[in-house]
Amino acid sequence: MTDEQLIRKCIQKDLKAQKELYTRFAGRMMGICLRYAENREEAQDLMQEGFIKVFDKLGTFRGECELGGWIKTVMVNNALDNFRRTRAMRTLVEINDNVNYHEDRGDLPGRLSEKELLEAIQRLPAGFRTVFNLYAIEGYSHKEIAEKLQIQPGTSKSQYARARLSLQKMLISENVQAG
Amino acid sequence: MKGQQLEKLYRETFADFEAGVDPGTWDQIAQSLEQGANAGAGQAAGAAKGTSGLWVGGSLIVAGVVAGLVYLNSPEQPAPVEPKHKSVVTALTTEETIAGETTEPAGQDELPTEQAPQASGEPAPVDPPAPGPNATASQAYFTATDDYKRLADQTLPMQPRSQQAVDLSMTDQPELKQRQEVPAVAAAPDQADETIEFHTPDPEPSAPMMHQLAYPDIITPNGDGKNEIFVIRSENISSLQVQVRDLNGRVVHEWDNLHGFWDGRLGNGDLAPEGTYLINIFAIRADGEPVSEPPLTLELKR
Repeated sequence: MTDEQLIRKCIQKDLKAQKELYTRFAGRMMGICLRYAENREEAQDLMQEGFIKVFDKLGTFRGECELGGWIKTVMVNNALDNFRRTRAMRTLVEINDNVNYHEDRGDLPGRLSEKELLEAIQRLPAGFRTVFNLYAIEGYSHKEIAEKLQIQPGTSKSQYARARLSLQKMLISENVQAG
Repeated sequence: MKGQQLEKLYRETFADFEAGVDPGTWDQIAQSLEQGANAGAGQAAGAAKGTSGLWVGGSLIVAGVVAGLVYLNSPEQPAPVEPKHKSVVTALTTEETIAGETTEPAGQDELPTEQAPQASGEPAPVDPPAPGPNATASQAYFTATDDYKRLADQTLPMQPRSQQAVDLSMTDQPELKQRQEVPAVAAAPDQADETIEFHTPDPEPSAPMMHQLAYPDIITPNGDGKNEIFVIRSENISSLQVQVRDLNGRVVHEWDNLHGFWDGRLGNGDLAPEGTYLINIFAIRADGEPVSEPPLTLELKR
């Protein structure tokens, strides 16, 4: 079944087709949900909500990009909705300090597993985690992030810099403990 | 470490990252989709969310019941619990001069005076801040201020501390009169953003950078005016992010400023069950050095 046929059947609420689409993309989307969530349980919630939105909005998909990319966008936006809803934006305030957060604190350990990287990002406070995901992994600019989260670009920058610092610290110190 | 190493590592690791999904996930989605065929997708999304929410709610109730039983089984009603205060003083020699270090060494923050008018029992009118680039921060301030109003009967001492700040005990409850003598600079609109003013002069360049964090290990938010909230007092800390988690690891409250607190309520305003909570602190010292603070435990009793 081509993407196009699959999409058409999903829009007609064919449950079998919907399951097929889910199965095709579930693993990749869970990978995304996990890094926006603070634990597996929250990621599971994001998966459910996100896929329900995917099926709900599928009729608006015009094929302007790859289906997987479109689904990913829906999932990320759902994670942002969840962030806005559950964690008041007051956790994202700009800190007017002049610290050079971009200074690096030493070398990252050579071997870091997906699990270690994921656990580190999940341990970040929600604001840090969200901004880090959007900037470092999704590749949005601070201006775009500011629009998405309805914050000042400077807030996005300072949140990002502090997220980065916390992550470095965690990854380096964990490795020291492990070694 | 080269500038972009961390970003590169994360981007490459997670670009095509796939993770195993719990087998039941599809069933939950399918159930919602079937319901949604009649009820609309919005409600269906709510239903999906509710499933696990219910589970968490249930476990919180269980935790609460257990805590309650322990409480009832104690031989006599305990006297109001006075918290022990842990304080951490860390001295590190400054090894390097970091850009920005000399600009804002942290002294005592403005927390005490900001809270004073609210805690006096007669909330002073607060002028709205001028709209400006810090609108987000201003909103944050007023959200917090509303919370303080709700907590207006609390008598947690919040006076400015003298240089004997090592004594951070919250047990010496101050009289309200004393509190009213505190200059009410807090209501000024220009205090309503996150700009932090420092009173202490620059430390000696060769002096080791000291920071201090102090917090209670128990709170009793029962309306008796004592130990109603969990708050962290800090010295020489430029930023503070705090998470309160339950034992399932769920964040029940968090804040990202020097003035945040937890009043023992869940995100929806319900009272959090009694029991143990975990506190994660992410602090950055005035000289820009991150502070490594192990997770703490906090007891909640009513």
